[in-house]
Amino acid sequence: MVVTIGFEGSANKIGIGIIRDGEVLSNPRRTYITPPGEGFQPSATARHHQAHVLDVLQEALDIAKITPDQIDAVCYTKGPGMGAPLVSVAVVARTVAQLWQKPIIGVNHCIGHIEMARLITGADDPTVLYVSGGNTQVIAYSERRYQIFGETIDMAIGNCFDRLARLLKLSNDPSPGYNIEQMAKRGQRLVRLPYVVKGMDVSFSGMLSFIEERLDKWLAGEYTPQDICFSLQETAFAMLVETTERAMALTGSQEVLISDR
Amino acid sequence: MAARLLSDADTMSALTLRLEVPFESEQHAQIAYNSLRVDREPSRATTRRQLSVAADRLVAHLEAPDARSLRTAANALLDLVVLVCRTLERFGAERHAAV
Repeated sequence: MVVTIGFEGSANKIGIGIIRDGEVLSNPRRTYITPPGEGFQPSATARHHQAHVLDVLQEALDIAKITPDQIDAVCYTKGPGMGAPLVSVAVVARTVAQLWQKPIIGVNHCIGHIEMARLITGADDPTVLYVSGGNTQVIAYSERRYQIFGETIDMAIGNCFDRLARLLKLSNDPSPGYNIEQMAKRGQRLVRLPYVVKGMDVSFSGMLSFIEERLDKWLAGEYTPQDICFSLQETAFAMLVETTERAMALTGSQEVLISDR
Repeated sequence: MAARLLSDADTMSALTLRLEVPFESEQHAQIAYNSLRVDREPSRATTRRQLSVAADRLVAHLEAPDARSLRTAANALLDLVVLVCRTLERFGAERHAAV
């Protein structure tokens, strides 16, 4: 029986999980939520993680009913992500690994996302659509590596959505993306937005600029914020579906795994 | 400490700060050192940082071209030192038997 503990703090969430032989024993977390209209900056996010990481660690051990002696390895997100938050969490992981005399394993955040999703869903060899605040990639496993078939050539879809939410002053609680979705459900009209797929890749910065330039004019009478959220989702998601389908056609894959958190 | 303006010919930074942080044991100081020495300063940073261990003390030496950079670097380092101390305090004494 292998028991591992993992520390993740590459963006605005600090989470610690304990897994035994593929079974999640605990997975507590805290999210740094900024006021509407504001994104999360590295040093403030780092301070948030520093303030909460030890409580979350204690919670993880307590909920899992695991003692440090029973842990076989300490894992942590090495990157990619935001520097200061990553360092803050890595420092704690290194300290407990030394205290508990356990090997320490640095994990690539993107691979962690995919493996976690495969574990939870039981997917075998899917085409992976990995979308988050910081990443947007279509991935397939080949030659013992995860290969990026297509990706965003500028910003992640999550980042694009977060920035639209800031423009619309939507709440960041529980997350900007969630609130955009709730707004989108009440959208009535489709605004034509730039649809940008280049082969296997996608681009969101043009769509965002297009919206930024026209937002005041639209909100003055033509479109509601709900219409804009609906249109953003329709356009952005369709772009991702196209590139994912293209990857599936190339690999002959029968499964799609969407990993977004 | 005398402050002076940095010119292109300068390779020495104007301001230095030396910190000595005592720990409850040599082992704890070594753990703190190992945890903190791994991460390099970002390439854009103008501050240089050197860490070492002397018995039960962590020693940090910072060099920066101006007071603001020095303060920022010192505060960031101290936040992490405090975090290590809190971790050692909270999880350092645990010796539970297997359940």
